Amino acid sequence: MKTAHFRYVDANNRIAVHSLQIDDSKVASDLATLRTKLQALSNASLKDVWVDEPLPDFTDGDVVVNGAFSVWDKAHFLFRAGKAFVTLSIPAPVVAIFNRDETINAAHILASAVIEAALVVLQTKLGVDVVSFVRGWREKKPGEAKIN
Amino acid sequence: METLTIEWIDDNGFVDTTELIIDDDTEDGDAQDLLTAMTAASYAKIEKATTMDRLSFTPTAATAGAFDAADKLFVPYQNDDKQYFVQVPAPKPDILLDSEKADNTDSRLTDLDTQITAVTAGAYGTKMPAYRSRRYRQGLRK
Repeated sequence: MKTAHFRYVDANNRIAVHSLQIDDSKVASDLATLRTKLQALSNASLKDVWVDEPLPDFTDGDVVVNGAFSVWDKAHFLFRAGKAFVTLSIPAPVVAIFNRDETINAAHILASAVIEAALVVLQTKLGVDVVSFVRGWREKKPGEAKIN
Repeated sequence: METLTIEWIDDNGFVDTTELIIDDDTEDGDAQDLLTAMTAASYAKIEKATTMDRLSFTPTAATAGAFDAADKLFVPYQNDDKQYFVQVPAPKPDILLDSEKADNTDSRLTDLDTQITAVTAGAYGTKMPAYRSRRYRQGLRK
């Protein structure tokens, strides 16, 4: 099962979001008829319908069995996209990608692979492509992680 | 553009979610290359990677008035011991028989049931009588 999200807005700008578990074989366009049926029942405007699609060919990575490595520890890669910036964060980063001052060593083979791949696909929320890597650093501050 | 959501898990069972905006004109393989590079640079494991596909359509305008998105019609489904709920915010008054009960014979509800069964491939089970609930008043203001 995967998830479809429906976002409604009423005439007073109140928002309601509702999710449904849909069959794996369904895609966004399969929900077109359902959308019209839901809209027929509501005085709010059904503004958006989104579907979570698993990335094709994605295979799980491997976790390194060592309790000392935590997703609270992060490597942040900062990219420039026109006049804006985009940050890509990697939790539990391999320590070898950092310099002694805990900045990211962009020449390290693992870091350079991330940078190279990110420059192909990353964008800002306005759709501007990232064009260059600016700098990277490590953050050890506990975040919003939760127990699975 | 589309959102790539990446769920990570470390050896202690702690999870973290990363969201990135990616160019939807790029091939899926390019996004996979990024995930491969990120995984190699991490001691954690990527457990799940999804993109959000948006349905393209022209929304119908909301009906003016006091209709509130926090006022909802609940359409429950039962499959063995599991219950699922389909929600319709700001339900049209003419679907309601009285203040709390819906007219479950109305064609709009039976049509909805047909579509729910189709998109879930029957996983939600059987539709139960729909009802209105005004318990959830905390709609978010845009």
